[in-house]
Amino acid sequence: MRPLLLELLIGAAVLAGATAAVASRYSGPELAAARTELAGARPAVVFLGNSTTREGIDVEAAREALGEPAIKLFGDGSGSALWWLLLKNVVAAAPVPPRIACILFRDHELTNPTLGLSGEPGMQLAATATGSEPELDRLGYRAAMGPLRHAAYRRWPLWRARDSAATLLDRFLRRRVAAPLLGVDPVHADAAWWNVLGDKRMDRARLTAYQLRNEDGRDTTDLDFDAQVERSFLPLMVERARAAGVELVLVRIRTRRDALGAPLPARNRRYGERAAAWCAGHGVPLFDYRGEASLTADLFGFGDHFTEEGARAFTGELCGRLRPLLGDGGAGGAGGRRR
Amino acid sequence: MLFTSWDFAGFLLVLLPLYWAIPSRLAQNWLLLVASYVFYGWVAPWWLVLVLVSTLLDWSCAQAIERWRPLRNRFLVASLVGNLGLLGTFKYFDFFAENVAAACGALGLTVSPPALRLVLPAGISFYTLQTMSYTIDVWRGELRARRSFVDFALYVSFFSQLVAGPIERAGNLLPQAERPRRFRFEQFQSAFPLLVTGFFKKLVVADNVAGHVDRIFMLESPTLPVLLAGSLAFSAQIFCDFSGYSDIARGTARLLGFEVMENFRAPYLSVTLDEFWRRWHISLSTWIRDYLYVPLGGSRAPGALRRHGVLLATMGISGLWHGAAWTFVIWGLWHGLGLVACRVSGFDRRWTDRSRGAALLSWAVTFGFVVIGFGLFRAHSLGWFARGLAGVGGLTSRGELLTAVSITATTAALALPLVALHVATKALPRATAVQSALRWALVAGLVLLAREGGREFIYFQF
Repeated sequence: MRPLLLELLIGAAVLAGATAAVASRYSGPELAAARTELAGARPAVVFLGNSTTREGIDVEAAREALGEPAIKLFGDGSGSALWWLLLKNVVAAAPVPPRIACILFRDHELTNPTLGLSGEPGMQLAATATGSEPELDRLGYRAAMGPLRHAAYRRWPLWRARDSAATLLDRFLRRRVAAPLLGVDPVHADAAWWNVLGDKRMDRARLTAYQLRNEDGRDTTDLDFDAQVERSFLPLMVERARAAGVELVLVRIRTRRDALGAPLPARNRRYGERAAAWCAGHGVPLFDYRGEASLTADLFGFGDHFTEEGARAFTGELCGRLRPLLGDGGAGGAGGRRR
Repeated sequence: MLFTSWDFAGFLLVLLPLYWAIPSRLAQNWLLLVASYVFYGWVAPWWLVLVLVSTLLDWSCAQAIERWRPLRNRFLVASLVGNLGLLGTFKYFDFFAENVAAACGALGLTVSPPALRLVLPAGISFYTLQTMSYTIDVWRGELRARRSFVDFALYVSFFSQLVAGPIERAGNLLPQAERPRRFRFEQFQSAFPLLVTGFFKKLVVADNVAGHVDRIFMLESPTLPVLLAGSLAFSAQIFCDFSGYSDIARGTARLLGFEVMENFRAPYLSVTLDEFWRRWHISLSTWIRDYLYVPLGGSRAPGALRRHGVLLATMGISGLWHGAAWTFVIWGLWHGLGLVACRVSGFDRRWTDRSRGAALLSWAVTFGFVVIGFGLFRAHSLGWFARGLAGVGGLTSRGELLTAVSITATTAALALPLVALHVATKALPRATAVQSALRWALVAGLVLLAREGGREFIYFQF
């Protein structure tokens, strides 16, 4: 039994040491920048979403079409958890909230609260959170992790750090090892990396096939709107937006798959129908662009991202629908921010 | 069921106490057989039909071979046709059909053979080799045919190595299934290092590197440094993915009182290509040697040309075993050519033993050769890979170099704890506390860096 005891003691010491090493490195929430930007821009419309919003919304085109300032707040790879925090902590908390908050989503991203909780999106989530986020904890983390892992996440810093550890390691090696070695300014290291491995350098056919495979392989329950909606952030978003006097508008975006004419899986189509019925019942405008024939395949750049021309066309079309919801309004600045 | 899923953890938690609570060997085997079928049929229950067909076929053929010796060749042929027929139908039919159509098209003929579009059942390439080797051993008179269907079915479908090997020999696994097994704490405890390293290799190294590899191999036109970094990262990924699986397989087998063969022995430390193949996927290499290379004449074939031809053919078939695509065949031939070149030039142990410098140079050449080979293995076409190697992807900017260096650094950093543990085990065999601390560091690494999401093991597709 002595070797076993020794083994367990060593194990306890190593794990305690590793926990102590990462415990002090966890950074707290940083919301100030987004709030300051919103307060400065005083936009009439805020677009919320992920990288498809980054590439798909042209804020200049939006301002022209709306006659009002607009900004976009987004996180690459994010899901409804981040959009909920942006809506609650930035948009609805602004001294002068925008009149419209427009959430752009693909497929089931709106009602799956467990998307984008880890890795880089997870880090953005942590940076957008306040000290206490009970809804995020309940609908996001606990739903994704189950009670045991959730307890570990809450109580054990080593486990909690797993959200960001791999991303931080990558970033550290890129900025602190590779960049100095090659005489590259560490500030530009990430951009240089994305220039080489970003979607724009991908073989389009392969990337599309990869994405379609992922979409086809998605679990049926992922696309069950009725089963998901009450466990999602959507009802909370509707309620919080209303309380702040912000009109919430939902936009189901067109994907490359739709533009290529690939048949939409039945469960995906059903999801759209059920989402439309729910939104109609709750007085929430939902614009479904999956069947929008004017957004042709040549307007897509890589994956589900629009080209610049595509972004202008899509933004113009969308703002044409948003304009009547705005009524009369004032003017201000326009911009964009990645959270 | 994936070894890395929570389902599997629950499966083991239920199975282990039940298994060790049963005093009878036969009842233990029944339980393991049922558990193995649950494990295998978890995702697609119809796969069980195939494994049952293969089991029944070889169990009965082997008995018939022993009972009716004069007709033994016919029963062997029945087994081979049955097993290879299953494999050919599910794995190679569409590949051959497409190539026949392409070849006919090149000759100006229009042929449209039907495409089956069948889903490849996981593990079929592994258990067909395993069952065939049993029947061949009985046919050769090296093994007696087993009467007990349960013992034999367990040998074929033992869950710890059913899906991705090691490809066990009946001579090793069957006697273990036939012996009484009692719980021994030392054996149970000895599973821990294997399980920890296995999960670390798969979840920390392979799955974290996989994202970078996927992006590089989806590039339209990669530059040389990025392609080389991608090939290096994939070499780490495939080793950690596959040897991680083998470690977990050996670890779970030990939890159940079985000893499964070692499948990898630090292959990237090989100083010659010959040595690499004695350390990489050992169960397949030895299978190919015993049931293909030697029967075809092997190193005793008359004439150098024929010997080299046999070696090339064997390696080509070994490549094809991995998958129905020309890149796999070419990968096999690449290694075959390398082995032939080593033999012709005398670039082997005799050369590398001369000095440390010679050994180091030889290691670098061998490692580089293997890395390029794995780049080819991962590439979607030979043309794409060749263009990348030839530098068609354009001039190398600092951004390209930065990407290549940072991906290499990430791969090295993730693999570093494994290297440290290997060095400590070899250099300080008695410093068990140091080894233990390093193993627990792997556990901490698992907590911190393990990827969730259940990425499949690469070899499941073979």
